[in-house]
Amino acid sequence: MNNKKKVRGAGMGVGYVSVMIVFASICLTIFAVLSLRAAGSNDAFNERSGEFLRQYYAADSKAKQILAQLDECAKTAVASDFFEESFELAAGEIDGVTTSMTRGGCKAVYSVEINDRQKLSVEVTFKNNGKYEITRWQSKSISSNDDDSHINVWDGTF
Amino acid sequence: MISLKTVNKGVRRPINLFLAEIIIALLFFSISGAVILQVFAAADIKSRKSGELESVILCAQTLAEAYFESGNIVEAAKIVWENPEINTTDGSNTEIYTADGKICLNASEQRKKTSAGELCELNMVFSSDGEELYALSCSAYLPDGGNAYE
Amino acid sequence: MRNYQNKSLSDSVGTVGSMLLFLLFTGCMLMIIAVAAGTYSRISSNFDKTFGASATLRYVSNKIKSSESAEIVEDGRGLVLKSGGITNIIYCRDGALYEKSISSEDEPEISGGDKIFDLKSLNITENGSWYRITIVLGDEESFTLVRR
Repeated sequence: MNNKKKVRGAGMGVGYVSVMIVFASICLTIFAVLSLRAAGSNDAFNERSGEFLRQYYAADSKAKQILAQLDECAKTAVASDFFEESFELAAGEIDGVTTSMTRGGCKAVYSVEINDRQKLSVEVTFKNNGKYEITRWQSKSISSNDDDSHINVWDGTF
Repeated sequence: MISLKTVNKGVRRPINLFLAEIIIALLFFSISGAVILQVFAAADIKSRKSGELESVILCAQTLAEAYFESGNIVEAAKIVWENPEINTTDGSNTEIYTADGKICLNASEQRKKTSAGELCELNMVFSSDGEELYALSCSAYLPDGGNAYE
Repeated sequence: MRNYQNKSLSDSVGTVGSMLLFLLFTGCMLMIIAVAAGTYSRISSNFDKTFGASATLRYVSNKIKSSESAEIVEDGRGLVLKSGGITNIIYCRDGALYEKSISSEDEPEISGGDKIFDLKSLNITENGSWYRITIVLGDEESFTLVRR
């Protein structure tokens, strides 16, 4: 009887170490995966914001190219006798630019797409002396001004 | 005699088994630990790079905004960084290092004269330890004689 | 009898030895788990910090870029942005950034609104033709410029 007790009490039982190892391995794996996921989502966020910045400044550069073209038109128009008419005529040839006369000058409005959801909306007022004022340089949501964005519902007619 | 043998066997077997189990467990742990350590190292490197990229993207945005006003990358860099080291290799290429030397900005400018002003295009490439982090292109329009009044 | 005594001593040594070995093993495992938890917490807090700082700066700068007019209020701790009949008020108070939207006809009041980000301080100044947005998150200060 005594001998049996000795057998049970002698040394460490088998299995404790295995349980400990399995527990530690599971813990480490969970922490490693969570770390990788945290780093991955940080990376993805940076990628997205970096890409948006690229898209924004590409649209911004394009808008400035159009502004440079409009300024050239204004300079040419100043040399002529009728600023408004010659400016409108010259600016009308630039793609996507709409012009309208204002008191003492002309207003040019155009927009450049940033991505499929946003656009850069620009409004520039040119004075008779050829100087300009940027009255709007604003990023806007495309969907908010899109007339086709409403849901088509049945109007009750067949 | 029989009972003694049983006792002997009973005493020795658990100790031997325990040692054998520890050795096998350590073997298993060393293999799984190596894999897990690699995952941790990858996560750490990714996290550090993300932090660097994050600050570089903010710098790029600030530089692009500052460049819009002056059309001068050196002036723009002085707004963003304190005491940057500026090396202009030729008229259009500029190398700018942050004061701690960690980040290098390679900026190349293209200036296009129009009849009414100058259109400046700036390509910025940020790198750290020779590895490219982020690239951004932006531009500025400078009307002749300050045509714009705002 | 003597043999039994020796056996008993070797049993005790074996038991204590294996127990010590097990304790050492357990200690090492727990230490490794603690180090792994620390590494995860560092990576996670780094993510929170960089995400918080850049997301706040980008949020405010995008709001300015998409507004028709912007006015600095509360000594640079807030902004009143007007766009399409809606006034957005963004301000920093009690360690957080708040935003509320009201009709452009209503008088803007710097109170209430929804909490967007945790933030130590926000400072917006007019600097030449830019707005300079400076935020402090934790101990780090970050800034960016936005065209007026």
